[in-house]
Amino acid sequence: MTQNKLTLALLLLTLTLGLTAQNNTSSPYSRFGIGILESKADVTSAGMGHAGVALSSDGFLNNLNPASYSSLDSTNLIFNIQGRLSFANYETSNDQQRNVDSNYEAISIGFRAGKNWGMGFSLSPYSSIGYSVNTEKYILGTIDKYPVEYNGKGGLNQIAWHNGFRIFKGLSLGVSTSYLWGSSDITEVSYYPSIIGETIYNERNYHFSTLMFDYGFQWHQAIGQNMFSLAATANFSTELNSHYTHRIYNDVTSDLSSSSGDTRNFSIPMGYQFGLAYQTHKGWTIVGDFRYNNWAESDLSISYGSPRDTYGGNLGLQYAPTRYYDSFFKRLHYRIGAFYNQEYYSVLKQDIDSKGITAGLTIPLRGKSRVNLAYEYKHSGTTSNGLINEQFNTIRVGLTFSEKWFQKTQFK
Amino acid sequence: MHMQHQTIYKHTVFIIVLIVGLASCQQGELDLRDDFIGSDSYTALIDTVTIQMSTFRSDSVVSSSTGSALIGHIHHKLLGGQEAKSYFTMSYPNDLSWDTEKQVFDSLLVVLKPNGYYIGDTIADAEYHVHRVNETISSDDGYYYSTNSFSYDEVPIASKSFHPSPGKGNELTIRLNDNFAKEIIDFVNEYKNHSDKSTLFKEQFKGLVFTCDTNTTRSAIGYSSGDESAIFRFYSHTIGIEKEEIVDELSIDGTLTQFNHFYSNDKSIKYNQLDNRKTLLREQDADNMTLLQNGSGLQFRIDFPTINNLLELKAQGHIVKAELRIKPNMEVMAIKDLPSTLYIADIYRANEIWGYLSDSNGNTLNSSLVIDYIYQEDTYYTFDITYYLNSRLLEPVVDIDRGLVISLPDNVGSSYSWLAANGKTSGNNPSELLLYYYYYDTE
Repeated sequence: MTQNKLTLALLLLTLTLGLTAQNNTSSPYSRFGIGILESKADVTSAGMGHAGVALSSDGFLNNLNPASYSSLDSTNLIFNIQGRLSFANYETSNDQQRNVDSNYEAISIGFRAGKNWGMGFSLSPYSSIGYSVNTEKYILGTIDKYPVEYNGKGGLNQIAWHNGFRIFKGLSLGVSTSYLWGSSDITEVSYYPSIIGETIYNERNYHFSTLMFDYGFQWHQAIGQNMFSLAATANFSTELNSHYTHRIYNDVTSDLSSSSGDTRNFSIPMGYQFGLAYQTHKGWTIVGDFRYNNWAESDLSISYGSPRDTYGGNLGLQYAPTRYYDSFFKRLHYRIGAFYNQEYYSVLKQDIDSKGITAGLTIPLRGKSRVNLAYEYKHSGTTSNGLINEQFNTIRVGLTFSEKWFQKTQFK
Repeated sequence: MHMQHQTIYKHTVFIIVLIVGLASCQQGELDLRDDFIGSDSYTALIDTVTIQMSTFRSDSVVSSSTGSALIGHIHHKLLGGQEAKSYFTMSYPNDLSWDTEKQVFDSLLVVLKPNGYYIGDTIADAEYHVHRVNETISSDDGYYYSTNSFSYDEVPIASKSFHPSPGKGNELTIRLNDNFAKEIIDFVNEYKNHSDKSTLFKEQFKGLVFTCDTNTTRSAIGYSSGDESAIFRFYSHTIGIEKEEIVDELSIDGTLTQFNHFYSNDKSIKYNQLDNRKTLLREQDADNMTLLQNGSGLQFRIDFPTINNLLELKAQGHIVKAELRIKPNMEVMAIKDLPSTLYIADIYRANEIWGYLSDSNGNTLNSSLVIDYIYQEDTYYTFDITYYLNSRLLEPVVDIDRGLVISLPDNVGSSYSWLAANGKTSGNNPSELLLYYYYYDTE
């Protein structure tokens, strides 16, 4: 156990460093707004099309709904760490680019804090920015072009404190208090090989931070031996504090221009999710979510486009055996799912949507610990109007420890 | 069973660490439409700053100690007849000993060795004259300039008409008047033991000047002026049982004082009327042309009368490239006439040259010559003056009296190398400043 704790502490440390150090994405679409929004789903949910607003935190930490924390086991401390490996293929009408991206996705911890009160913390990326785009511009007044390279990195991180309360049997309420912080670091490099001119670096760094609250409820109703669940989460519009530094320099002298100050604030808009789940006594679970976010009111400026309200849906199916089998494969949990997401911007008159299918597995370990695996195929974007068609094959691996840290050994 | 769980657990931790440890990698590149990114920055070739070119004459072309004596006369297409004379001082011939009893003088030659430089028509015969200078050659600052001249005897002590052979390795010999030679010998015999013989010699033999017959000579040729290259050759013999030929070779001047004098004959030509460096001949007043010539001291300057317009843009961007293109006037020049390199220097109001321009690494800036061998239209010298112009914009007050001057790097005081350049106002291949400006948006 001591060895486990040590490994866990090391993982925590590297994760904290890793969260800010690596790029989660290489998608050129991440240049818009605050980047590509990340799923909050545990690998368990990720195998079910990222659905799970109505699922209890039973054997895993369900960060899709803070109300789920109320169902944490009173004796166990649950710790989850997950990462992903993503193979991306980007296509325009002329070019193709392949990327491999990898990163930690989340680290969370949850435990029972009171009789009807479950609590947890999580650290995860809220959004990701990471792209490298090449283009050419005309030197106005000539027929010459010069190459321009755009690099972006950054994104928002979220550290959250989740609290779930059981109000009475079947009904739970929850609230997540999050601190969001991060940056968008954009460098535009202009080269002038045709005229042997200086190279100009135009570097912008935007820094964001805010405090954010998510509210949720879950209602579980037994129907015979089966369980029906209804849930929802919502957040109010939350303004992000932002300031910038802007620096222009060349490869010859030093700064040509530098400035800093506050920028026009924008908001993470009001949004809500509804979820339904039906779990049978034979181990089948079907779960579905619906989502809306009022991004049109976010005041985000999207170049050559605009923010738009988004809708999305997730659907998943799980089979988890309800009793212990000797056969390894019969002990596994199996999942499939599908999802549809609208991204929060339209660019060059094209709405950017994504959709995908998922599959997942859970390998139960000693106690309630688990290894979770999920595979996802996702498609988004379009090659119309010079835009990009994206395909992702993503593998997620998560490890959920469930240790009886609060139970004293009664017999020695 | 417990062991199996431990193994799975360890493997999973390993896999997660491995995933994260994997560096992101990329294959291929996306070239996207510019408007996908939608950056507000752009680059433009701007004509906000124009150039103004003018010719002036430098009155301080040092023509002494150049190592090259230029002698001859050319007919320049734009400047008319131009004559180069070369002055040498003389010094006491320490190495000349003379036995008055036994030695008989035969002849004295002056010998010059071509250094390879020539200009003009070397097919036509040249005629040189050697005169005795009758005025003390002296200088206040130790230098002699292309405009300096000293009076000399009208009647030469030697003349020679010859077919020019300007190649290295050749030798030009001119037999001097025997009386002149005997005067030297007599001086040596009389004063060889005198303590002040050097001074006395210089008082008597003030120097020589090499001129040419401007009616026949159509070329100017450079000769090495080093103390072993420009020499006297005495021929004599001894009287006795057996006749012995004696050849003595002596420097004209062991202290190496030699300079060239340049003169343009046709004062009706505007360029030849420029008589001090403060007078400018604007391109607009000279057929939209400017002229540069070694020897005669013609140079041209380039001013930026509208440079202050850049100040208005200064807060909005940066010059990524400023290229100055000097276009030779190929209607009067041939490709073989084009100097291979030009220098560019900072110049102030009264044509005071401050110093050569350097690039951002501190290296002296020089030109690249682009030759259009087929049409000759796109032949130009190019200077990268990006660093210069960006530095100018940092001045507290941008002074429009500061400009640039174009000059030739070599043989300024000993050659007739030249360049006729089209002005900015020329209708045909005008010289120009290409200014590429990067405009950036600020928050």
